[in-house]
Amino acid sequence: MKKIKRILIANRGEIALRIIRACKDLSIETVQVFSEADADTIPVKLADRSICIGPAPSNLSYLNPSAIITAALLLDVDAIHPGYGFLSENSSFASICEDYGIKFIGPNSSMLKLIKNKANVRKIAKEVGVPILPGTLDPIEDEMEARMIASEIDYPILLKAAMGGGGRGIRKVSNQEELDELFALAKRESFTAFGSDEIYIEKCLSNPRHVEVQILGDGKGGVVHLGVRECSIQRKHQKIIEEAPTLALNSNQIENLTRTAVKLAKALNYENAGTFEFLSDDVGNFYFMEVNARIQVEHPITEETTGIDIVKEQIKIAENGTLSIRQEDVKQKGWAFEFRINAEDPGTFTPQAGKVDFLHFPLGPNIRIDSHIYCGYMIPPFYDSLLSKLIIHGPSRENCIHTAKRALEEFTIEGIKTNIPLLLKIVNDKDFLDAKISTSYLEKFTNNGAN
Amino acid sequence: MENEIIEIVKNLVSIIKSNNLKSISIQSKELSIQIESSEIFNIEKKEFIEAHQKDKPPSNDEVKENGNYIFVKAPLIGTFYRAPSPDSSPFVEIGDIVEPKQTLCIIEAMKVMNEITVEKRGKIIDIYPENGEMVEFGKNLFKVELLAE
Repeated sequence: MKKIKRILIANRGEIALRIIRACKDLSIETVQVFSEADADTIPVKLADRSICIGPAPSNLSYLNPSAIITAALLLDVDAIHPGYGFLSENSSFASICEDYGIKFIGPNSSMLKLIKNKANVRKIAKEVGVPILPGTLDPIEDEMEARMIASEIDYPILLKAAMGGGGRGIRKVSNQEELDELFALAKRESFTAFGSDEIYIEKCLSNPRHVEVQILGDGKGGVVHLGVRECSIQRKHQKIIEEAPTLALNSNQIENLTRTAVKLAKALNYENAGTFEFLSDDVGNFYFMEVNARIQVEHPITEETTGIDIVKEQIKIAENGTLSIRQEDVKQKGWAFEFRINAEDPGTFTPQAGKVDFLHFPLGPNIRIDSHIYCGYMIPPFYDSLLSKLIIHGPSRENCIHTAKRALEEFTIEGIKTNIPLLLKIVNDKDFLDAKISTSYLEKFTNNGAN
Repeated sequence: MENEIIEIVKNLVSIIKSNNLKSISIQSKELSIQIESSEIFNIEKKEFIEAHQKDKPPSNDEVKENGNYIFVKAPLIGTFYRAPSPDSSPFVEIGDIVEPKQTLCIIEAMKVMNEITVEKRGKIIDIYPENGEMVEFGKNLFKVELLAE
């Protein structure tokens, strides 16, 4: 294994900054690549070396493997950290890195290729005895087959694109008429969006909760888990509030969930950090959904409850090929929340671009903020709308919600609209306080967003 | 079928544009089409670019209007080479007159040699990077005084 002395960060915004901070802590040099739209950003200023790789559109810069590899070779980096999104789960990019002897911080290219096909992973899960939602194991060929399976497992069902991800490529079907109408369309959509018309069927749970397990693996069957998170507060499959651990399951069920995730990660020989996502129902059954083979946006709540720096661990695994943590050293303590502060209209959810005219972060005890914005920052319209992650930790869930209220009231961003008003409504909502939440929880705010 | 769909989409786009709509969708037995306008987005992009332009060096177009210079910029990141091979002479020297489409240099990226050409007839006034130097995207490579064609 090669010592990592210099890392190129193939990402932007808060996660780029997060990775630079981890590198500085580990005395590793950083190279920040950036698009023309990001010249005046903090990661670009803070990295040891910054280099412009292309114009604003992502496909010409952050999604441009040739430009990124060229920068990596010219600046002689040992490894590339892809962050999340962009090229983070792109197996051909990882494979190019391997060809050039640059360590891709994440799973290797063949693992990424395997995991990209959700139907594949579902099959492996089934083989090793991990509960999955009723549905198909192989891609379905035609409407007749779809009809048969649907009537077997009962409506509503989901038509899922095998190569989909990030909440895209999913169609809910409530009855046979809808199935007849949507089947061919879903196949075509999948082909257009993901280059493959492979579709599989999954039973659609009503009001499930989203629970997930943070995994670290050495790629040789060594796996530890860093506990659970719940991410049920979401809109259109985009998470908005996450917490760690969860009240969706009792402690025995959580124990069982983490054991199950570890079993699957071992079966995959999973390498580096990853998240194993599950859905749970109201009686504590859980079903494997998918693997996110990257660092995740919500990783800080696991860091706050376990005291483990996941980004540093990613780098250490990439460098040594071994885990520095033993399972018995991992204890999830207290509670943590993450609130995603997005630049968007709180009523219509339209992303907002513009200038941050005034900014005040609500710091103080039990609060961590991961953010790349500053007073005067221009939010470019080219990328996602995440401005800041407000991370609260404390001894208990109630405690955290109390702190969250004061933090959200104090948080001031002027010049652009943000979703802070919506987050404030949620932390004052009784169902949220009582943890009576599910993936459809947010609908009550979005259907009558006016009040 | 394909052509019909393209026609339908074209019509929908023109309806969106002429009525300044945000989105439009149609549905039939065989297909459903939904189109969302990115018009709002474009306005923001324009504002963003305008707001940023004051800090940036003047673009090719602006300089042209002022008079006689253009800058040839790096269209990609890579290694700058002034000659086709280490023992051949440079493509151009300061003072040379260059014709449209003439190669000025090479930028190597991932073992691909990309020939960088000039758009207009002119005279090389300055060459910024050294031979073999790494250039970023957008970096000025040559200053060219425009000459009548």
